[in-house]
Amino acid sequence: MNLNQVPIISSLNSAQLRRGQCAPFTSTPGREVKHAYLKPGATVTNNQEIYFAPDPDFDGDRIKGISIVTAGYLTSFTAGRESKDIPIVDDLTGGILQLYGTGDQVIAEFPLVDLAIENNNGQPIRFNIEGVSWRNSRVKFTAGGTIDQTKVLLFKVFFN
Amino acid sequence: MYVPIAKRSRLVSAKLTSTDKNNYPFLNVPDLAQDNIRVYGIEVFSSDQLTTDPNGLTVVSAAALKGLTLTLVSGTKKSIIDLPLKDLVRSENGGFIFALDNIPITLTSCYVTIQNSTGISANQVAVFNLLYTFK
Repeated sequence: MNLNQVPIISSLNSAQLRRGQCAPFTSTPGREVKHAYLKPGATVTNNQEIYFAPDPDFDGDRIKGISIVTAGYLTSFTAGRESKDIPIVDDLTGGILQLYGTGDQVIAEFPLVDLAIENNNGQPIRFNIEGVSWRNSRVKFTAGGTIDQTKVLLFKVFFN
Repeated sequence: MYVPIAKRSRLVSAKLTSTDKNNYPFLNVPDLAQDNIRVYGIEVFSSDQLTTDPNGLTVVSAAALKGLTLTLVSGTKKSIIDLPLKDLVRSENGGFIFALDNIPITLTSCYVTIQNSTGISANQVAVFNLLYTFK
């Protein structure tokens, strides 16, 4: 990549570093990575919300990056004791990941397709986020779709 | 090489109430509507990435983005003027989120302009993700 093509980003680096708004373009944010998954009980419907199971590793300011795994990278996953298929990226257009705080306010939200690294030059979304309550966080579907009980939504969460 | 990282982010939409070549303001988001945020990153989505916005409105197609531009406003001051929306599609720009220098905005004064209405239907929305901090 020609660095001369991105003058805006390079000129803002030092100030944004101080404010915690940018980070080096490294391959992996955070020191550790773990999977988090959601299993729909039936075909997802409009306005449906599916909550994550509590995990203290993802609370507070520990999350440094998130991506969603699609069938282009992994065809199936054992979620609990069940083997589930993983959706293709086109199945994800009706969903949004919402990270909530303990006060039940949305801190950050991203369309699921935006979290698929094959769409973004291999890059996960990076976070410098505070006050996350993982048990309050969820996927919200703005449209019903093709994700059903045979599939699992699988996220890779990078954390410190 | 540095990339913007999310401290806080929200999806916001500009509703294209007609297909006329006109300015269409962002819809109100109460948490962000008090002249109290600074934006340091922005990206836009088409229906390829999100079919409907959180309000249940249909998102414009990828082809329609080529007819739309963005203007960011704080009070009466325009800071970003007529930025093509295709510039803000992360998957078409090396995976990078468009970086801004902590621009203050008045959310409902910001708007999308229809430069060309090809592929646009009335009452569709252009959906953006704002990376922001509070003032």
